[in-house]
Amino acid sequence: MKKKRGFTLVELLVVIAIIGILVGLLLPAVQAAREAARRMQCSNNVKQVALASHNYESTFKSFPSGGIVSYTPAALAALNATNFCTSGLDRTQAPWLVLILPFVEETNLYQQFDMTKRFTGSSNIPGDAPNAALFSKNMNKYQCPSDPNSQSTINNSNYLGVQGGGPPTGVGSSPCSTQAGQRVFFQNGVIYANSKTRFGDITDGTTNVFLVGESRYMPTPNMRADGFHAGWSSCLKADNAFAVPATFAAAVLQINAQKECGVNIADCFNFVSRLFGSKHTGGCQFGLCDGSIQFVSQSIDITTYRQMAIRNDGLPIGGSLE
Amino acid sequence: MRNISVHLANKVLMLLILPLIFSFLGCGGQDGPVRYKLDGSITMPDGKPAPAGEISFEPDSAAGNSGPGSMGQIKEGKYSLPKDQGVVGGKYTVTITPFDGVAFGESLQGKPLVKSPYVEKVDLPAKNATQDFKVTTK
Repeated sequence: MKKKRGFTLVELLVVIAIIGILVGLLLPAVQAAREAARRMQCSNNVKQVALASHNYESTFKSFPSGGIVSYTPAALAALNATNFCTSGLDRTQAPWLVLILPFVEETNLYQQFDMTKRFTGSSNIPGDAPNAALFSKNMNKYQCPSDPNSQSTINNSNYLGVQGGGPPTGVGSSPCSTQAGQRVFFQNGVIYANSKTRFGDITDGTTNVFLVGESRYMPTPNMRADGFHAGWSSCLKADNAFAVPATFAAAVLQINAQKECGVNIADCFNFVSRLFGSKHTGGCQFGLCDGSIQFVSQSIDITTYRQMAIRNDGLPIGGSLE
Repeated sequence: MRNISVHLANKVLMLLILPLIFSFLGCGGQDGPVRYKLDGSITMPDGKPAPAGEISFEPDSAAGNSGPGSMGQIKEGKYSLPKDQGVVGGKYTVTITPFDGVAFGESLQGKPLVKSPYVEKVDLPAKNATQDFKVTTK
């Protein structure tokens, strides 16, 4: 019998199988490398925001206020930590993400805002001109490349100030909150309502306290059927029963505790002020007060995590005084 | 001759497929403590299921427990924590915030059914489990 030249079916199948396996190994590796690159870019963004806050501190002798509320000193004194957020604040102005604009090379944009006028809290409560028009502006420097919103012109921010942390509010001695403790205003962090935190106030040490954290929970126009959303230039939202800070959050719930927000899934207005998280696998990034960036695992002990968000609890990380 | 080549090809295939199977064994692992699924129902003082809201679990550090916290949404009286958001077992502090589920103003889940969140201490088993709760305060 004359031997035919060529490949048998089995040989072909083996070759195809080998190529298939090699490609199968390669594809996840490529995707992982792309995600690693995005995470690195994101950590650079956090670094820029943290450095901008430090430069702000060098200029004005305090970290940026989470959101400015301009009352007369007497009116401010009448308010306290547990009632101020439900007292119908109607003069809320620039949030910290606007205050640090000159320090992220956005001086031109900064000068378009009018710091003496009201800012927009959420899209259903517009502020005064010209701030209301600037509300929907996209700001890529505040977006994580792993968040799909960074590919669009949506005005969200993935970097929120850390206003403090602790157990769910409404339990025992609690900070001001609305919606039965789902929208919270802590004051034991670094960046909170009307804060003027100096380095001296961070008595736990700057290497032990969060300054800015990553979040994917800022409400965007497609998360609710009515389209209500917040943005990076949202002042602390102040409408009595629904008051919520949009640009700073507290460490209350475990990192990434809520998978996603959306129509008929969950309302992120109820999460944005007490939950951090990211689209990266397994945790999210935090900028600390010393300017370092840490990737914090979502498996972190909840008590340790909350302690790191508090600037002056006087406890070693993960420990107690008992 | 044909039989031998098929035999050989089979061996080669097995050699290729076995490492692939073993390589999949390494996937799906999660760092941190082992977590377990938890689900159950939540009823209000009047015996009706809680329409909407949130249930949050955190290890009771005062009782010596530690680990990550968990949070679940209440949908028509039920909650469910998947494994990757589950509990580690042991002493827990549970916080329940029930809502009436009828959209009110800006709140899609309606008005809270309690003045302050309902808190209960429980001891959870270190395995997939069901745990029901009854809100006893208003």
